[in-house]
Amino acid sequence: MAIIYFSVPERKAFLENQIQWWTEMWEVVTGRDQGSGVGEQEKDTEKVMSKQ
Amino acid sequence: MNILSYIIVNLLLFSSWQLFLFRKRAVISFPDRIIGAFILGLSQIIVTELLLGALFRNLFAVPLFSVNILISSWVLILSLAPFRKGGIKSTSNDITLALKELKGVTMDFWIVVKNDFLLSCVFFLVVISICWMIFIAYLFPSYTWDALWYHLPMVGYIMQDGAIRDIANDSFINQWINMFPKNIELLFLWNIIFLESDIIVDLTQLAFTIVGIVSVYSMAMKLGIQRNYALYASLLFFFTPIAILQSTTNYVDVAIAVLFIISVNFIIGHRREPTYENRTEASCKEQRVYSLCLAGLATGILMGSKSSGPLFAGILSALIIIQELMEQRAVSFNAATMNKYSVLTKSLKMYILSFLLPVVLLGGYWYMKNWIVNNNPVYPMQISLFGTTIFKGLYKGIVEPPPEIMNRLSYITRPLYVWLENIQYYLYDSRLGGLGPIWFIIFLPTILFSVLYSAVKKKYDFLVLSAIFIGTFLLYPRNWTPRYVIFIVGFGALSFGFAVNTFGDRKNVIKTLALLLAVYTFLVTNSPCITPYQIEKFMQLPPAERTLARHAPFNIDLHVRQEYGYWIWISNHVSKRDTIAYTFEPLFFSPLWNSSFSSRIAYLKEKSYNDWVEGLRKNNATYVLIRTNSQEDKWIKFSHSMSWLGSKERFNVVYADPNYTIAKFERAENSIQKGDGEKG
Repeated sequence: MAIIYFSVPERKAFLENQIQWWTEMWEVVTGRDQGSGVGEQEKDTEKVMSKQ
Repeated sequence: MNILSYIIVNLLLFSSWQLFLFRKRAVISFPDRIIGAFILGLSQIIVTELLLGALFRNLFAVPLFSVNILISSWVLILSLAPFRKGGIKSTSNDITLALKELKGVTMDFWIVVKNDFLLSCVFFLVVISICWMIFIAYLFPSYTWDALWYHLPMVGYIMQDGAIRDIANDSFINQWINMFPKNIELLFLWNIIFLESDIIVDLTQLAFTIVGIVSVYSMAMKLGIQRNYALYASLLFFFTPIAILQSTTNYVDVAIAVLFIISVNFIIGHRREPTYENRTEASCKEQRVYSLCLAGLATGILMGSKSSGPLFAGILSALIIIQELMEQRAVSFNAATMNKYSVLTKSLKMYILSFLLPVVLLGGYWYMKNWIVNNNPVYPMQISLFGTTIFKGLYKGIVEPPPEIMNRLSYITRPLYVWLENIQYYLYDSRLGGLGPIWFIIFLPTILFSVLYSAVKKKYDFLVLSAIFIGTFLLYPRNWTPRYVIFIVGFGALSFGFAVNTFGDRKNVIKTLALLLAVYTFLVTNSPCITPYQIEKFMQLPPAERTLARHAPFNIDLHVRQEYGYWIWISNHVSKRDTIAYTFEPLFFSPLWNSSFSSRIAYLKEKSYNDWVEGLRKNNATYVLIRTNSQEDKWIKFSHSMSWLGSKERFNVVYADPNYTIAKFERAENSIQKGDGEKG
């Protein structure tokens, strides 16, 4: 059952995504933050025209 | 003060019921008393909120706190009544015994865990996971689709009105907000109303996950599984990815699954527990009554949580009636005076009074309301039987279309495809995966083994459980959707415990494989909605700025990016009792409230300026939220230009972006006062 489970086509992409997540976590924990798409979202989010 | 009141009311609530059930320790085991106290506590919360909200239209923090403190104090007095035989000495003995029991159970548990290396690994993995989940839920606001779409807006509407009632059908989602049963949303409300903050509302389901572990353990013990295997199995149930991810969201699927497991736990195997040997007939009956009542309360909460609730209630009712009939029939063989009619009457009486009454009390309100208002208890779903429409509705099936791949698969292959998890990541509502590798690799084979073994060896207790869980799974619509059938993983965990208990030599191999898969699940159950960089960013932000717009989770970002600006403005500026009048249908209503849901929202769309202003006055609007360049935007600009003609309403624009504008609405009388003041 394990062989069947781990040999599905999407498993490789799944594991790559997880490795990327943990790589980013390692960078954050060790302080080697390279930034990510979150920075892009921040710029969009903070384009707020407040008249107050 | 808010935190203190929250702690006090919850402590009193659950400890009073725990002590109440402690008096019944001869007939209810310790794990069942933990689960029972949880269910009784939830029942009290839901009943008090229903009474205050639906009947008295006074569902606010102070009345809710007062009523619950009163009830819990009363329960405490009943439990520790010094006027009972033995007086105060007996009362203090009870408290001492309860504390001793707790200490004893904790020590026993610790010894079992310590002496089993694999078990201790799994246990610590669960503890670390729970700590991580609490941290993430505390750090991030509620961000999931259905939570923002209708689960939290249900709470918002109830909190702003102090009443449980239907709202105007101004938008597509409002009809669902009106129709859906809301028991779990009442629990969300409980976790917001005292704290005046939504900071822990997304931890509501985590409590269910933990009680689910205890329930699986209790069922395993009832099956005669050795304690350490029962513990192992119950802890493995935790490692269901979709349950882990949903435990920090405001969905209801984990709660539904666990409530079903709890109900089954109370209904089955009441004769088998070792503490119940040599019991009298009276104590057997007492135990049965308590079990059915607690099962009834759990089923009632379940029924009032989702529209599929009646399906669960029907299955459990059938189980109880069959059990009762068999029980009474066995008794009637020994008592010559009992006839068939007497057997049936006794069975029905037990079922109705002990089970059905709590079900109706806790879950019936939502369906009765729908029946009265819409002539259909499950409106807008249409119910037909053999081609005959019994209840007319708008939809014949689940509205959301299935993934395209499902149309190419058969009834049998659909769940198999989903269990193989052809996905690139887990999500809180994954449709093509989510039950995890432990389910597919370990639990499925052990289910097969355990069912066959039980059939051959005539282990009827396990066969009955199999019939309940597998039967419910087969009857459930869209049973291939993982989040709808999380309960089947609980059955898988039981089967695992059963198989390991039965196997002689290979149990450590299986346990080691299970541990490795648990570690794997722990490592890979990371939602792409919460990235390490977002965690880092949010840890650096002050709590007030940890908002949905700043989170910008990937599951909603593309759909609502243009709304972040006014969401941020609302979270920074809208105070208690401020009212935002909006004039369009946003995708999500939840961000229109402030974080404590202490503000109000009102939909106001009119054909003329005067009607609109009149509506703003009637609703005590503080702010208006409009689309830029809309009719209302033109009216606001018009009102500026008409101010020299003496138009008294003023709209001061406080926020504007290319898509949305927020203006502060100053009513005529305020404008006059300000004008006089300025003249003075």
